[in-house]
Amino acid sequence: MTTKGVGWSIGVRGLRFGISPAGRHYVSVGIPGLGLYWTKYLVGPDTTKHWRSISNMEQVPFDAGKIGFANNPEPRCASLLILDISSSMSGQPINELQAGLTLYRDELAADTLARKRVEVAIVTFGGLVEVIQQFATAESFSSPVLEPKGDTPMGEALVTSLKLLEDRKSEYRQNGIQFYRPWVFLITDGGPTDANSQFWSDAKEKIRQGEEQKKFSFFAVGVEGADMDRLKELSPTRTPLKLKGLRFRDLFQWLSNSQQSVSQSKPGDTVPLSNPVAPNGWAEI
Amino acid sequence: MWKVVPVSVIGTSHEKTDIPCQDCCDFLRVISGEETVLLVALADGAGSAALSHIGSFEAVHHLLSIASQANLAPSEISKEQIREWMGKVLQHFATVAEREKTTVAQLACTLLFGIVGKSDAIFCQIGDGAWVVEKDGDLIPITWPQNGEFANITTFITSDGALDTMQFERLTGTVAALAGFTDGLQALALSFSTRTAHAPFFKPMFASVQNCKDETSLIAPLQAFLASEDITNRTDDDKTLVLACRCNTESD
Repeated sequence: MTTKGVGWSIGVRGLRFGISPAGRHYVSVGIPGLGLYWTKYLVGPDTTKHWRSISNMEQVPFDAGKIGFANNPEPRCASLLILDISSSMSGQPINELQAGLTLYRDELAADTLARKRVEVAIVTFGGLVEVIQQFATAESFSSPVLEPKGDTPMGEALVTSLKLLEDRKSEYRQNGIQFYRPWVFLITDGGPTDANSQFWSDAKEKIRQGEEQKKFSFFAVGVEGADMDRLKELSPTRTPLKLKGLRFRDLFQWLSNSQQSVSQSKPGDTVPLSNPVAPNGWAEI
Repeated sequence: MWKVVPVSVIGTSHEKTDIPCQDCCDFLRVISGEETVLLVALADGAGSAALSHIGSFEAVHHLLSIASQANLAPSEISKEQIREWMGKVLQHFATVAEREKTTVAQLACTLLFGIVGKSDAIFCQIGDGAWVVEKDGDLIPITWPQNGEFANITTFITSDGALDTMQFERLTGTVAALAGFTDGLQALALSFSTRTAHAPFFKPMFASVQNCKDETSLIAPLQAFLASEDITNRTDDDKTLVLACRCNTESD
């Protein structure tokens, strides 16, 4: 269809374009495709300032004092940390992990949007699996004290964590809270001591489904000594990352930055994340 | 006859980064047989698509021109008919992409379309944003933002299978007023927990349109309002709002 055709269609067989009380202003409104819109030049992106200045001289039919806004909860970005605190993490590793967590909390709390939108939950595994932090925004969680102990029930920790996440998502839905794709972050320096249990196969299956259906993004990070082959079993599509040295702080800085970007993104935005395996990044493959 | 106030305002995040306003809206009033039919279209260009401001402009105006030429009353328009028109918009995108030396994906945008006659109306959309109507004194969110599971995900008309996701709602009875808006305003205008339109947002604005002598005098104030800090403190996105009220005199 050509724009010319539309121009000529005015007044043809039953079709005519309406004319407003403002008269000729609207004649041109009725010619689509040509860009000859009276409203077009009013609403164009370049005219905002122009109109702002004009509006000062007029009465205020749209008064913010009289128009009420809906009070919707902020959309949430769930961040689930699953941390290995088995006895092998004792000493400097656990101290660095602890420092990284504190930095993470502080960074999120310092960002005006992220502190309302990013919700962190922490599950630890060392001998037993514990939910040491239920989902909470950075404003309302304090960095927990981690005490290394016991073996490495990684499978059970994963199953517990993913259940926690599902429950949280249900709460979001029930309360009409919009949310971003959740992040699931596993950090370990070993291998699962429950690899022969149902937990391990369940965990693998849940992560596979979650990634496939884009329910969440799963990241596995191995600290020195980690069984990277086992981690690959969990995350066949997204290659597990190996932490350089004990750079937990860099890892959490990256996580905080990435989640700040994502939690401010709008539909259609691409959110570029910096590459953690870049030469100056915190990880290697 | 209808009083219509259509406004698109650039978001502060777009101003900061020198991205153009990617929203677009427009309307037509056509006479179909004995009745005046109001056609309104809105589009919100994807942030990640370089030429989505062109996409939203082309989508809005192409759809309006196809629909006005068809010159059908709402009762004669089926969901299939609208899908066909949306399909033509996509075909048109192929031409535009060639003209702009780009790909169709770079024109990605949402698309909302309303057709309102004397005693029935159709509202449809692909993607987020929504339509709210006032009918028999009630405010009805006749469509709802299509955000998939996650807040930063929506469907664009250029997305795979987009036409299959189109919301299509037919309303019988007299629509007294309507509002179409893009996602920049949806958190202020809709209550997500109760899935309702927020009356304190719409009622005063409908009243302003209803009571004005010349609705074209409201375009600048509405634009100023949408660009004001009361709004930009709550949303940094582009914002489009089309308000329309039926006038009491049908003789217009």
